Amino acid sequence: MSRLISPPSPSPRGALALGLLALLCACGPATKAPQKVMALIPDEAGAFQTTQIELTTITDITALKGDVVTMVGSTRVILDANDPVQMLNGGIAMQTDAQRYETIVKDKGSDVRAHYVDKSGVLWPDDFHTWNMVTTYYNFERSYLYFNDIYDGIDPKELRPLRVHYWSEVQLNSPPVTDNMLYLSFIKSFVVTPFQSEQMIPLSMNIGVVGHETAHRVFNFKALSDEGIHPALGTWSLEAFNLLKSLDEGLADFHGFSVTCGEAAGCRPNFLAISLADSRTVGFRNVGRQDACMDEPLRTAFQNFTQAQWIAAPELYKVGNLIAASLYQAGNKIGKLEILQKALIKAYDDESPTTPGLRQLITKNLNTPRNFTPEAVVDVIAAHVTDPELKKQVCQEFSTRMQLRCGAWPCTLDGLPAMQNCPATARRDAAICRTLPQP
Amino acid sequence: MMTRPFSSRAFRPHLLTVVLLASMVASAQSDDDAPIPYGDGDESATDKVTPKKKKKRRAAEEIREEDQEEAEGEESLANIDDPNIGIGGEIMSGVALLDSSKGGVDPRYYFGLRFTWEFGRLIPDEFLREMFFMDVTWTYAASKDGTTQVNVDTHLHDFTLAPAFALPFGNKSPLAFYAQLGLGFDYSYSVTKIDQQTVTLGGTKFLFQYGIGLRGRPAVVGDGSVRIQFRIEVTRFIRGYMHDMYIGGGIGMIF
Repeated sequence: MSRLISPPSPSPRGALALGLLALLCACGPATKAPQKVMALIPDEAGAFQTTQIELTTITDITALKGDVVTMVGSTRVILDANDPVQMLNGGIAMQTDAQRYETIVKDKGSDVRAHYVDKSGVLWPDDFHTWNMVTTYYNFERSYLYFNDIYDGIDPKELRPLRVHYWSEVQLNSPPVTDNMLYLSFIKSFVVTPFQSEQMIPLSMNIGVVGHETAHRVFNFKALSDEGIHPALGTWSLEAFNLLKSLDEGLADFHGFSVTCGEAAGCRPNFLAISLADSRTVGFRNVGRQDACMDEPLRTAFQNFTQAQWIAAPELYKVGNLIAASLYQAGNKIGKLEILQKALIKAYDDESPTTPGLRQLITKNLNTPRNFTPEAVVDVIAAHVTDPELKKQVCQEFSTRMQLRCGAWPCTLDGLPAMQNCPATARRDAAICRTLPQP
Repeated sequence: MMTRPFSSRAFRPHLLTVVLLASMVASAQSDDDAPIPYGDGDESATDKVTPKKKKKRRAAEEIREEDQEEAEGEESLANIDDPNIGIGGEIMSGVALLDSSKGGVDPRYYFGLRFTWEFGRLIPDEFLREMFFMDVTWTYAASKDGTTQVNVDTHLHDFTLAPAFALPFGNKSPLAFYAQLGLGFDYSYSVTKIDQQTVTLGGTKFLFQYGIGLRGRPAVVGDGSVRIQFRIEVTRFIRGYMHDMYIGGGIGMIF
């Protein structure tokens, strides 16, 4: 059958005009989620391979923007205590989020432009940064899905979208930061800095690292009231401050490990090993470390280091590792990691007067930081673990590895009942960690 | 002024037309200007005037023919003054500010080859013949990024055909400013290395080129048939949705 009416076709002049228009538009490939694209993902043996994935939340595959991630390229983030603009209105701590972003992000950057070759409908990155950015997007998307699961029915809207400054020049009252990936709560953004020394798997290609950073965002939103610069971090000192920082790092390491469990390569408690050459750091940050125990020098530092000393010291991460390892061991020994993950999220923020969350503990003790103790923190976590066996294991692991002042229950500290959420069956295990003399 | 060295047969039909038209006009003019004969019915009087008219028409034809021939002579002189046939080549080099996928630009060294045809030489006009040329260009730039464990070598080959419009700085000046537009394609291939594994990927993209520059072609030999060709130029390539800027120059010969 012949067609009686043919669709209108543009005249040659019209076609030329359309062609020129398309050229000037210079658009990237059309995006239709789920978008098939290649990324660098570890296989079952843990070896990184070019792997076809689907980005389910992407809306612009060229600018790498989507519901979960907004990527920004080549920004400059300069935190400078001597910058007059950053000293206005009482300093950045007193500024709004928008003001801080304006004054600290000196160069707002531009959209990234991922570059692909289309092979039968699958986009292949054509340069290193496109490989890195696509894999980074995928890692954030997977991390988001992990938190979406453990939020247990609560919409993690604070994680949509996550703003990622890719290949950003970052100075935090110091020379430019390299070989790192950070969550900067004061600009509510993630930054991927250029690498200089590290020559292994780039940090943002490492899903454990991306999960770790996403966990910082979750902790900041839930436990630190979404404050860009929380008052506790400005006013607390010594053990309370050091505990708050290490708690943030330890929980982030635990979630970073947990995010790896959803991938083909399986759970990788030592996820930093593929990206960091410093075997000492990799060693003491291994979440699966069985011999993770507080020792005397670490406890002395934990109790006595000032803010400035603590944030520059490896001890911050060592205490964080004790927290992560306690959670890892408790969840794995019972085989109830998922219950523990969900319990942690609940423990971050709970308005209930009977089982207050970490946020409530921090807020209540803003002026009494001496009450923000390891025992109080573990008690909040234990209160949100509903499984009795897991609850007992959590109390035991923390008591053993962090050398809590409670080693058996019921426990009394300074004449008051303490850690009331731990069961009487829980006991410190001296076979795992030698019991240190209590100060 | 030199004498006419050769006749141009190609222009004969046109010349004839011009001459004929000119003669018609001349004829019409001569009819108006001619003295009105007395109407004494003497036909011989008219006959006596006729040779005078023919003589005048012939003179007009000759003048116009001479003008035309003179013009032809001048065109031919342009060829003699610059006997260059307008085919040349050069090597190019400079800095390619490649549009970086991470945002901003990625400065890289580039080099390439360019073949030039001054097609303006087909135009007889002495001035216009210096104004048009066309380039066939290949440029190559490469970038390598990543860590020791994961890195990507990207190689860009740009092929374009680009006509250009030049404005010489003065009559017979060897220097000219030019602007150029072109089309072509980019063939890029990348080699992605992950540990010991290597993945090679190739693909082509449509390329649109535009730019400006300064072009010089000073003579090497006295008659100008061999010239040096050099350029300083800024060219932008729209490679799919990537915008690259090449700042550099070239040097070569043109014959």
